[in-house]
Amino acid sequence: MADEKTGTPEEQPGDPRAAEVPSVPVDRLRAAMAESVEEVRYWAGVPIVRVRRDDVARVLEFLRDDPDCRMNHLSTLFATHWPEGEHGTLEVTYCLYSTVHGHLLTVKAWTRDEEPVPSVAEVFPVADWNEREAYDLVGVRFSGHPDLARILLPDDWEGHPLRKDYPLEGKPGDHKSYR
Amino acid sequence: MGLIEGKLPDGILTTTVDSVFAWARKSAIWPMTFGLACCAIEMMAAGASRFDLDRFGAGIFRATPRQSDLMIVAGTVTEKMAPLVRRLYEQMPEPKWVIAMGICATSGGPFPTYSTVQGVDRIVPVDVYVPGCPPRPEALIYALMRLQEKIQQTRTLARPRGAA
Repeated sequence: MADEKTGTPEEQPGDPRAAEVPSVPVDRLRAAMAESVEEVRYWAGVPIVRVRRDDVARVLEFLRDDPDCRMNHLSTLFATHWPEGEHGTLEVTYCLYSTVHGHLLTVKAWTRDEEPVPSVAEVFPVADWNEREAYDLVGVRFSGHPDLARILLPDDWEGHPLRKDYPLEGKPGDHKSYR
Repeated sequence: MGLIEGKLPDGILTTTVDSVFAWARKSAIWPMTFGLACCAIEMMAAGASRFDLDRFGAGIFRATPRQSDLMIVAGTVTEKMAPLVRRLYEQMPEPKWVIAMGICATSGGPFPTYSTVQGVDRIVPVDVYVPGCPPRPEALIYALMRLQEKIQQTRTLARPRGAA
């Protein structure tokens, strides 16, 4: 679906899977926070909204609280490393669902190595550990996170192994004395 | 038994102390309750009624290393778990044995990656390796029987000439 290095979608024009679908959350976002929405795409009936990085927390808070959206469930939050991405090198994806209205929405924000993304742990408490995982494995910095420590790897690990330029079998020193 | 032949009453057997030691040890191997990944499910099946490890005296899984003789490393050992595996092994009293169950514990298996220890024998000495992903309970039982053979051969009092 996307180029391996850039994350740019490869879909052909007229691909039925990329067809626009009516979406209340997208309409509400465009009406209330038009300046934050940078791009809207569709895939398999789910709108994918790329938002301005610094507005992520505000956008998610709006989607959660707006009575017509009520996106009250953050199903997952993950990060991807695209070394030659068009909008940055690190992409953070937020998958939202409304248990009230049944809306599905994907929100994406792009950043670069050391530039932090606002933490949404205050908006969705579940994001606390998800953001720690994204930091641990991909190296995304989240500003305002209560405790941005490694969650899966040992505390003294160096580097972020799910980056595309990280050697699969580890770099020298990774295995300490167990290699 | 030339010297004592015919001098003992009927019904008395003679053996060596070492044989009795080894027989007692191999007949009551208590494994540690210790599962790291999917292999542990097969280990539980081996301990449950259908396969019943208790037939070999090894059905009492102890919840503490202090009372365990056998560590069955059942699953993938990650870099983060490695120091804890080593500590648990050190907390077990002697004599103690280790079975590396499945290819992950044996060699890292399908995970030649940054975070997986490439074989638990890098951390603790292993007595028996069990291939499989995961091994069936029969394979674990066979490994246990091989371990019992090994234990039966140990000499505690009558050490071979030259051994320390």
